[in-house]
Amino acid sequence: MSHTPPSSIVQQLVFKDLFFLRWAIVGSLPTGIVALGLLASGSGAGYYAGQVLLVTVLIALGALAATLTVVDESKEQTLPFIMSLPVSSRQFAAAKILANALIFGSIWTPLLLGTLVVIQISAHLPNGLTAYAVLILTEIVMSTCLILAVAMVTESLPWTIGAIIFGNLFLNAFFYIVGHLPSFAITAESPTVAWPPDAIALLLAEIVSIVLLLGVAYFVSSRRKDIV
Amino acid sequence: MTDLAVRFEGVGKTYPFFTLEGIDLDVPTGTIAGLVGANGAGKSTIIRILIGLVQQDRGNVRVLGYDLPKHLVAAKGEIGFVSEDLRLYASATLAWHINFIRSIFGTWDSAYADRLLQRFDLKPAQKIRGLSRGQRIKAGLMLALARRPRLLVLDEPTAGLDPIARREVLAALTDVLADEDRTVLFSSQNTLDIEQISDQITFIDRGRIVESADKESLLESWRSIRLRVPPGVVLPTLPGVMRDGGTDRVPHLTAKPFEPAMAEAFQAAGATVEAVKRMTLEEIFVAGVMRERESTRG
Amino acid sequence: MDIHSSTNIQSELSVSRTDGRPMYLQIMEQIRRRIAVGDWPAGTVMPSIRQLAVALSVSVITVKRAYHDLEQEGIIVTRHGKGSRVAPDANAGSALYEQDLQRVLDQAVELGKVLGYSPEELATRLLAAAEGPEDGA
Repeated sequence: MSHTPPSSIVQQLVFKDLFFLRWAIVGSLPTGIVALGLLASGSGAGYYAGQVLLVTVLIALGALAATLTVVDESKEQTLPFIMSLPVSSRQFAAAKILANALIFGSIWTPLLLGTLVVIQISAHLPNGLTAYAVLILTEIVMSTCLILAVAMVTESLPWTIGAIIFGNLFLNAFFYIVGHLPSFAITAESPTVAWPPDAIALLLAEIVSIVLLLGVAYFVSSRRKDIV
Repeated sequence: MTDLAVRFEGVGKTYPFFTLEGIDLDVPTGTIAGLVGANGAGKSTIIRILIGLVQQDRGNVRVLGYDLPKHLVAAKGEIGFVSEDLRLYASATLAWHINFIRSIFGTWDSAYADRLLQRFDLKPAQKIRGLSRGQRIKAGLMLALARRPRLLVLDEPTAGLDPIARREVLAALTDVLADEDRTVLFSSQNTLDIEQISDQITFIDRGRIVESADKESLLESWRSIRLRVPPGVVLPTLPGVMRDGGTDRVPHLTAKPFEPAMAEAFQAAGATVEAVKRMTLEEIFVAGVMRERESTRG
Repeated sequence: MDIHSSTNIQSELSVSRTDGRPMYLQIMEQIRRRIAVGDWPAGTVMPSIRQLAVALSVSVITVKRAYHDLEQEGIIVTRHGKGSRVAPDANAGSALYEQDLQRVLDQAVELGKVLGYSPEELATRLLAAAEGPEDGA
């Protein structure tokens, strides 16, 4: 009669979510690589298509992960099964954030690195685009965190869909904001990597938002007393 | 204290349209306790508090020696829960669920799991989505039993089961009791199931406990009495006796607690006692609930 | 060595939910019969309360009640820590049938009263019944 250490339940819950999302993870990577190929293709249409595909793959994966791992758990009534295991609300909330971070991060990280490499090696893409790419890709992390936070706090599909729509609209607004940064016009065309102060400020704001969103999601979710 | 698997003291929970109030419930270790109540009576709320899916607003809950909600995680490690509301992952197989549970509980008994699979006629390779309602309940029960929990809690485990599945489930529940340290608490609307396997029976109505007693004394304390009352005879008012049907000439009464002296008292007053019968659990439940509702109305 | 192990004993019993009688009475009745017809001789080891409850899928308290009442009737003997055995009383079997007969006779008398038969008329009916069932078919 061995008693399992409490840390391993979080691990098992994370494994479980990774297992259920395995096809989404496996499917996202080749799609992302195609997007990178388009970015590198050199044509204006290719660059545009690659950017849209890259953003779409990441948004879709983040939204899918939050919906399947959080909303469905309560919608499909598997939550009582999970919560009848020796797990606390805190461990459960931590497991959900960790699972989503791993699912999303497993695709986001290689695609971010791939994008930076493509910018570096493609003669037609000025290296000054680096800050732009990092800002956009980090914004997608922020959007995903918003969706996850709304999903964890409300456990409701309509609210989560609302967050997905809002996240998308905000992303488009963000493209506009970054495109119109006073410093951006100069740096994007620059042949070297440059981080003007307003880009750094934006990046910091994104990171703070990510931390806040995850903090709220964890705080509210881990204090939930009644599961059903 | 440790010989009580479950102890509720003055437990309450308030919802917008439902209140659970003043629940005192003791379940001794090594027994099967049955909760009987109509839909919405509060059975599920009691069960959810017991397994920590819901937290009480008032009162003390102690399960297997753990205070809830303080030591909830430790308690949950030793409680197995089966309910119709508890769904397994539709897209995964039963085998996946077995591995999942086994990875969490060091107490998993593989040999027992195999016996249960056979007994319940379950195929591990099958996806949960393809299982019938009865098979899902049996799958949930199998996953809970093979962990060998000290306390097994079941919400309506026999609802909607065919006769063969119901028999298997009841047999599996009583099997647990071969070990004196294990306890079962289950709710059901089927009073026959409760009557067959419970040691202790608790009636719940409208968020309150109407009656809680060991089964044999409960069945022993109630009787239905059929009288024939000639015109002009006035029946004595006896404590615990209520009329629940019949006519003025042939009234049907229920008595609780029943005393043989009651029949004599009726006879002495000039009535004929046509029958004194034991009541089924269902009849007792209905009579008990009706009495409680009448007394709270007044 | 007992020929009848506990496992044999418990599989010779059954309970029915539609029988109408309380389950503890059904269990008592069947145990009495097995003893009366000599299937379970004096000294036969009875299954433990928990074993029998599991075998019959009934609650422990029901079997406990049955054993308690059987002990009161002197049909089984329970010794602390040693379980229960069939009582050594050799006449237990016929005594049981004697009790059965008395019960049936009491019922007949009761019914006779309801129908308005005199004791003589009732005795005639009993004699007629003893001569054998009329073969109507």
